Formats: sequence, structure tokens, C-alpha cells
Amino acid sequence: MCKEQKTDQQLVSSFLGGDESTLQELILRHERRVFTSIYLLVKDKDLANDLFQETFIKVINTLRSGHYNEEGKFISWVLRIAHNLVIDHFRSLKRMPMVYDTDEYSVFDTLPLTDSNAEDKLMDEQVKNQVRQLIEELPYDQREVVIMRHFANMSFKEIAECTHVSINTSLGRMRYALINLRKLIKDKQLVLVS
Amino acid sequence: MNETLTLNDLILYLYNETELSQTVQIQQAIDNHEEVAETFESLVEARSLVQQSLMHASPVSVQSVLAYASLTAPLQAR
Repeated sequence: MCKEQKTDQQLVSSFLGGDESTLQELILRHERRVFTSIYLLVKDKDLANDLFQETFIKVINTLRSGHYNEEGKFISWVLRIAHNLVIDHFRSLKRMPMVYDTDEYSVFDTLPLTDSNAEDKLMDEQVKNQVRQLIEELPYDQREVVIMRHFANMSFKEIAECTHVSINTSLGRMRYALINLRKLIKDKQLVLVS
Repeated sequence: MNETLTLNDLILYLYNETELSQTVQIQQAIDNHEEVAETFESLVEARSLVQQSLMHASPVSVQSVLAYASLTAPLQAR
């Protein structure tokens, strides 16, 4: 029998109703999107992990305090918190994000290579790393809209409101991001086989 | 690209954010104009790449968050 997956809203409601176990399900469901979003903005794995933890601690505290507004999508709300923490971080440094020279994310950090498909998984991870590197090369405003649309599931109207620009500007940034990604693939002669 | 269809319209269509009438118009443009179809195809390809970029937080980070949730849970819930 296949158990039907609960929606985020149902999990949040259960949590607010006292079922603490649903919080774990929410966190595990969204950790990849939240972490990837933060990482693509700060481009530093350790910093991204710190901000990831701060984000969810704020989420937990806000839910428990009863200040969560149930309008809108849960993941969008979480990523807005993450985004604000990233901005706070850069403000505290009094500079805009820069390209850091960091050790790349090791495939062995996330990939238990214990089964017969280990080689395939390694290839997949190499493709993912290449794509991430391409996204990291995008200008900040383009990266931001890619993250909000892809990982936060925000509409272009919501993104425009959140970033205080017109919807046409949001659309234009996404357009340039996608065009730039294509261009980077071509320039670097990357073969992205998935 | 025809005179009424912009690249921004294609982006909206790509992400399923067009109204029905606009959706029909754009689909027709894709079906009938090779240049529009090629442009759209390249956008689809780029969009699919972004979805491949997901990565995990470190297990330590996830465990820390879960531990915080557990430690700060109301007493009756523990």
C-alpha cells in the first residue's frame, strides 16, 4: 500500500497542532533546496552549512512562537529567511558577494559509494558539480532569480516583489541567466551527460 | 520571434505562468516558427540543467538542526 505524501501545509498544521515528528519530515524534505540555494549565493560550503542551520533554527523558533503566516508556500517562506540571512551576512562584511577560492564540494561528502551503481552516481555527481560551477559564474542578480524560481517555487511576480524590481526585470534576469548558462556550456565545451 | 511575442513571454511559458489565451498563442508560435522553437528548446535545456544542481547539506548540519528541534520541543511532545 502506498502511503500518500502529506503536503507541506498539512505537515506544518500537524506540527502546530503538537505533532513534533512532522518537523523532521519538513526539514528532510527541503534540506537540499535550502542548502543549494544558500550555497549558490555564498559559494562557500562551510558558510552555507552555518547559514543552513541558522535558517532552520529561525524556522523552528518562528513556527513555535506562532508567528508563522500560513498564507503562501512553506518552502518560499523558508528560502526568504535563508535569503535574508545571506544578505545580513554580506552586510556584516560590508561588501557584496565575491567569488571565493574554496575546495570544491567533495562527492564523497554526500555520496555513499557502496552499491553497484557507484560509478554511475559518481558521473551524476560530476555533472552536478559542473552545473553548479556554471550557476556560480552567473551574476548575483541572475543567480538570485534562478534560485527563487527553481528552488523556492516562487512565481516571477513574487520574485519581483521580493527583490523590489518589476516583473519584466525578473523575467529578463532569468532569460539572461538561461542564455548565459547555455553560453558557458558552449564556451567551456562541457558535455553534460546525465 | 513574431511581433507580439517577446522572450519574456517565452520565459513565462517555460515556467507555466502564462494565462490560457497566452499559452495557446505561444504554443502556436513554437509550432509554426522554427526560430521560436529553437529558442524555446535552448531555454528548456538550460532550465533542466539548473535542476541538476541540487546538493545536500552536510549530515552534521542536518543532525544539528534536528537535535535543536528535539531539545527545544515542548515537554509534552518529547
